[in-house]
Amino acid sequence: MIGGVMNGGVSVTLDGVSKRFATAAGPVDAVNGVDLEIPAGVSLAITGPSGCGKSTLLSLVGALERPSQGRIEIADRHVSEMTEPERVVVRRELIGFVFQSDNLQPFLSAVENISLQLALSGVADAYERSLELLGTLGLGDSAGKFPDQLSGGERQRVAVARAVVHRPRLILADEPTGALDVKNSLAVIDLLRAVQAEVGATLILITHDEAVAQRLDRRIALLDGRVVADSDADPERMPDPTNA
Amino acid sequence: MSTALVEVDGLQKAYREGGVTTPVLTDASFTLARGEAVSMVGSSGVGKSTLLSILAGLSLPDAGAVRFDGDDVTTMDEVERATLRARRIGVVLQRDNLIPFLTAVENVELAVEFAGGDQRRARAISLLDELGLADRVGYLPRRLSGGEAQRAALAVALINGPDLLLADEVGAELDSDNARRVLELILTASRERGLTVLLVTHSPELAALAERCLHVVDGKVIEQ
Amino acid sequence: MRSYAFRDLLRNPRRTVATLVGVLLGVGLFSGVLFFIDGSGASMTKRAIAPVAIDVQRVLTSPLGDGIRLQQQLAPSGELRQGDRARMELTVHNRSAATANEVLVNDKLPPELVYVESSTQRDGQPVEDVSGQSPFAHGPGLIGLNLGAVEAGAQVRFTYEVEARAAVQSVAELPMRATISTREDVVPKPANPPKLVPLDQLTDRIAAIPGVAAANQLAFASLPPGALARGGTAIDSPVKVFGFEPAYAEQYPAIKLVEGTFDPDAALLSPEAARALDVQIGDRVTLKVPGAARPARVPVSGIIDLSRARTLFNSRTGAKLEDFLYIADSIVLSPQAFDRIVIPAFRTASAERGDTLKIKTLPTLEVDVQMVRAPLSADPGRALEQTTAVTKRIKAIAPDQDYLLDNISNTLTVARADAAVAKRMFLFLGLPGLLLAGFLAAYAGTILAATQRREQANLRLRGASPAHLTRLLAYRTAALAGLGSLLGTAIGFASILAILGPSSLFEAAPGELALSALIAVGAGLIATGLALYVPGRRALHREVSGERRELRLDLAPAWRRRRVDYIALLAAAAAAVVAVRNGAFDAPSGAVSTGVATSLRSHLLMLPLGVWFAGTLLSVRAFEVVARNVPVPPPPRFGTVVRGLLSRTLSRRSTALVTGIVGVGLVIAFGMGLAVFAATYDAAKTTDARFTVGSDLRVTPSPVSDKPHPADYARELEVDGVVSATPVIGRLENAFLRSTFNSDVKDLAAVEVDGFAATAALSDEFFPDMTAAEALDALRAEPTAILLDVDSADELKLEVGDEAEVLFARGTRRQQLRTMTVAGLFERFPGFPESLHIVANLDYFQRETGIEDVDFYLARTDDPSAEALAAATAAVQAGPGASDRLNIGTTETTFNKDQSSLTALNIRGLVNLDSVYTLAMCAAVIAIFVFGLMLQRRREYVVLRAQGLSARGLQLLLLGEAGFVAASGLLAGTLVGGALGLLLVSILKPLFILSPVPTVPLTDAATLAALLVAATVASGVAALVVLRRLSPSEVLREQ
Repeated sequence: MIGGVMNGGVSVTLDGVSKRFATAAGPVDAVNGVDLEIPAGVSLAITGPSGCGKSTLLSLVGALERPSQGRIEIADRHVSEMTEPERVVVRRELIGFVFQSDNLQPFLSAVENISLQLALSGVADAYERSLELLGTLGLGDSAGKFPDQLSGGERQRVAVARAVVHRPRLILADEPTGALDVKNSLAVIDLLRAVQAEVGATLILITHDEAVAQRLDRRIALLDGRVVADSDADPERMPDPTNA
Repeated sequence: MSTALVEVDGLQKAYREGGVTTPVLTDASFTLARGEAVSMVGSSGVGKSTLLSILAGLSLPDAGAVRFDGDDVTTMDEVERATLRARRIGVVLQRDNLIPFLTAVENVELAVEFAGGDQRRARAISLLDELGLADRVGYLPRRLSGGEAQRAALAVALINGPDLLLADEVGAELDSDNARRVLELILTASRERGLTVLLVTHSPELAALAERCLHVVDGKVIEQ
Repeated sequence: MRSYAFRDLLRNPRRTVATLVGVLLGVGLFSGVLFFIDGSGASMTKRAIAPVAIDVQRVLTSPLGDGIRLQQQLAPSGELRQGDRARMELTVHNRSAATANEVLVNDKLPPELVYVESSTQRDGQPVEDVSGQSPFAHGPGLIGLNLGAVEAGAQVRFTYEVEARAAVQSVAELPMRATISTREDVVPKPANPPKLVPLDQLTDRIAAIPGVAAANQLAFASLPPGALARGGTAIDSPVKVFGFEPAYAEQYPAIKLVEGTFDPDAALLSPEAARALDVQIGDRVTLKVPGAARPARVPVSGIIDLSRARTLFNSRTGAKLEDFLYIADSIVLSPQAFDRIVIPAFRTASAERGDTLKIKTLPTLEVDVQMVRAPLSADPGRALEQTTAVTKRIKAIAPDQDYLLDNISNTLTVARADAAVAKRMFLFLGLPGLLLAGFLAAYAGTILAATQRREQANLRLRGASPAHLTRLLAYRTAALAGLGSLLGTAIGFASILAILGPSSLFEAAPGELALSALIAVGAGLIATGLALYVPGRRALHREVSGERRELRLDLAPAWRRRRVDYIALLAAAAAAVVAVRNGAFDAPSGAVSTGVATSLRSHLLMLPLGVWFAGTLLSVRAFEVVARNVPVPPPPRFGTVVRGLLSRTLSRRSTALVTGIVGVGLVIAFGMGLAVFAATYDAAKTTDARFTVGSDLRVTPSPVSDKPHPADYARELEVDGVVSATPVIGRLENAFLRSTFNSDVKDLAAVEVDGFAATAALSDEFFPDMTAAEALDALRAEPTAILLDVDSADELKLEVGDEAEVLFARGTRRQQLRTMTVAGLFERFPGFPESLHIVANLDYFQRETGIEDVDFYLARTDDPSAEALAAATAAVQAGPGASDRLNIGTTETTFNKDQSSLTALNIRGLVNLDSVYTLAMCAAVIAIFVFGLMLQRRREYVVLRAQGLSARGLQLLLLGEAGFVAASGLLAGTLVGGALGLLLVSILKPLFILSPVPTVPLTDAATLAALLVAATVASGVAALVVLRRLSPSEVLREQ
């Protein structure tokens, strides 16, 4: 659907990663000593109650923020110690983000939103590829529409397209189905999985949803900033993803 | 009939967005008896928040009625509904329950002011104390931990002795212990004060703590 | 709710400050203007009264002594019963030196008395009744008795009987109503006039009044040519003889004793007279006063320079009031000598001629009063009250024997009116500040609306009713508006303190300052209060009624939707048309000296406000169109990242920029308008000053100087710093002009054409039908050419090409009558701001009259600045002035009494004040816009970062939008500001003598633009720093 060469995924390694926020109530460890190794091409679900650090963890992996402690490596590159300009390049070339609310640019049409990602990498025929991708997602007619003219489900599909058009080797999705109904949720997940499979990218996805979590290769549960369960370690004893 | 505090009858609500009309509630009907604790579950985006908003009188449905102690909320004017919210309905949300520049006790006092009550300070401190916040009384919300903030929010919701408490995912951003603690406080309050509680959650475990569980599916409310 | 509102403001300092900053600056500006007005009053009073030569004058109506007097008495005094009789006595005494003709005595009896028939006697002889009635009141008109002529010194006594018709309590209290009049003095004077107070006594009594600094008696008379002589030589010109004490010269320092001393028995001569008679101190001169039996011989004890003494030579009569009619040949006596020599002679002369009216001019005797000026209030209105009070006291002493000229009060009356005009004018310069305060407050408010909406939603959830929320809004608004207005007023006060200095500012009455403060606070409260409350109320209403539409900045502001800008511009245009058709812009100039206050129609000042507001709103529309048409890379290209994003956001979200552009535009327009106005004002002031002086310098040889001053002396004046100098002949009433229709005494100037063209401040606007060059060419081409002023041409029915006779050097030995041709007309002439009628060719003048000396020289410097003028003056004094006595006036030192006292105001200072605030508001508005934009779009920016947009790219994006707003606002503001400035200039034309020429202030404009750019960049950088500090996950999580 995206076409082109299979780039293959990247491996992600987290080593003693913590992220501490200073709040007026005292420092809070949103992420607390997380060790994780994700081989290339794997799809991973991160579950856990809200506010327990999942989004922060994803930001860290996505090189949007720096950890207070520990190391993050993507494809054996020490991302957490790169300069900001270097990390910009990493985000641009290697990573694709999908957010909970679509977060499309409101002043760009569907195709422009997607082309922007390509333009960031200096791709020449950005529009053509974007239109193609939209077509395969069944959104060909909506290419020129603006986000406020699309339904929630349509917007999220455009967001997914935006996240994958540049064939990233690591796809990060933060509750991509959070705002969608059941039907649309599963559609989006299937889309992500299909794209991931085609490109061979590594997929890390945060979700609340049991049904969604079950569709991925691997699952970890996060609680109070720590990994409390890992399907790789103990495939049977996976606690409830929505843990009380 | 007199045991039912809340009667929801055939609620319909749809959202219009970008020329697309998305129906959220198609025919929601249920009752809440006095003093009972009821949980409400359903996946995200299914309309639970919408339902709460209508119950609290903050928004009006496209069709249907909500009777609170016999009076139809949907036909009341804003002033009447505001009074209802001040005196008879308490609401705790997932986050941002407190005014960020007022201390915990000031937040509670404010709620008393809206209900036109007196002895604000004394009552506020007393209730905060009950909820284990005696030494957090003068703290601003940003200095409270997540759990403390939600308990303070509970104090705000309960200070005027409401008949109905709406709790929307109150533990969703808390760690397990705190979430549990808050819910237990709510349920205690329900038992001790005869408070009707509607607990929205998407944790089946928490949902099970209530006496009864309502499911929101396809715009309708189903009992289980 | 009150404590909630206060806590909100106190505990959210950044929000509070953002909203307040606009209010502070706006109210600061407005209050600053008000305080400026109060403090500037000082210069207006001083300026107004500075040229007043004599504050108050009491001029005796009968300088030659009492005329004819009537005494009336009724005997016996005491009580009269009904039927009792009494005797009325009327005595006529001619105390003057001449026969009084047709003496008429009238006596109307009070109702209690009735005339006893046939009881009248004149000097013992019976006088017949007229128709059975009293001869002193007979017929239906109650006409009196005509005595015919009464000789000088003669006395006539009348008596008649009266009977009491009713009981009279006290005869002494009955009114005596007899009057007397003569052919020479037709106004009936009452009987029993108070004794005339002699001049020196009057002077002493006036001097004793509190508030009077000095009172001095002054006497003077004009004597015909030949009156002053030494040995066989007599002066052929008219002579003026003065009588005053040394104290008078001390009081009026323009009178300079050059040599010798005062001596009560001797005389002082003017240098011109001394030179003409070749007199040394100790020599005797003869003074021949008409009517004197013998000429008086007086020794000369000193030389006294009267050439600048306005008090002595200012005309006291209507038409030429305050014209300086200088008579070069003068002699000064002591008052006693004057009394001894001059007065009796005039009395005799008037008696000889039998008719005092025939004598050309009687001597003038007056008391010149100088008021204590130090305690005079800075405010002309209050100063007027003070001077009027003093004048009242002066008038109370021995009234009826003189008339009073209250020059100082008259001057202050005009100045007071001017002060009122100034206040109105400045008020309008300050009003935009108030409007901007409201605008900026509202703008900040909309930016912060999102946060407050969340809190409001929370409040509603808690049960806040609409009433609660409204009250909350009211408290917040009141607190912000109140705090902002109070602080703003304090800031305004501090700024004026810095600009004017405490001494100036505190000259204003505390009451005035307090009132200004009150007005500023009040106006600030209203403007800001409305600006904050109205949108807040609407938002509340929307919220409550369930309208959940996001208050996107994408939505066109309400004023736009209601086409307010078009309506405002139409209104302004209509007003302008009406104004022009009513000649509103042609108001006559005001001058303190002519007693005319500047008339500025204040409602005209609404026009610039309208242009400012409507013009900016409309020009913003234009820029919106530009934005919408920013070229977007066409599909299938996205373009480079920054260009692609920037072009699309500008063209598709142009309405989001509108308010920002309006804000910047309004501030810039205001600043630019003021800058244009100030530059024009300064230039106009300078032009007026140069016109008054004639050029940069005016060099007048002192009469004390005994060196010759021919035309080519001008070359010696071309010292360092002086580019060119030219000689000018010009004095009051030095010519006579005659046409076939009429003739009159005129003022003539003779100029050297080339030199004058190069030096003088000429302008084509002075000549109605030709250019200045053409006029001077005409003078040069034909030696017998003259230029005539339009009024004289009208009066004498002369047109260009007509011939007229001109008497050159009138009143001197060298006077010559020539036939001249009118070659051109002029309305005014540089160097002669008061009046000039004829301009002739200097060479011709000197050739024909043989007069070699000129009256003054004009010189132009290479640099018009004050320092250069001072340097040139010093150079001239050091050069030719070292061996000569020269009086040098420059544009800095000479002011023209015809200029409105308004021009004394430190308008530059006010404009500097406005500029500072404008710059600050400029920075504030762009900062609010940039931060507002950043806050509103923070999620977009975080997503862009996540997608891999570099920090630099993001910075360029933010700066691009901000830059567009800044640039559009700058352009719009400059255009509107230029128009505004021009409008202000035309409305303020009446302040000046010459029409102001609009000047473009390049430095000021550049500073404003540069600051805007700097503020934009700084805000952009700062905003991005703030953005980077936000946690991306937090930002994305927010709803």
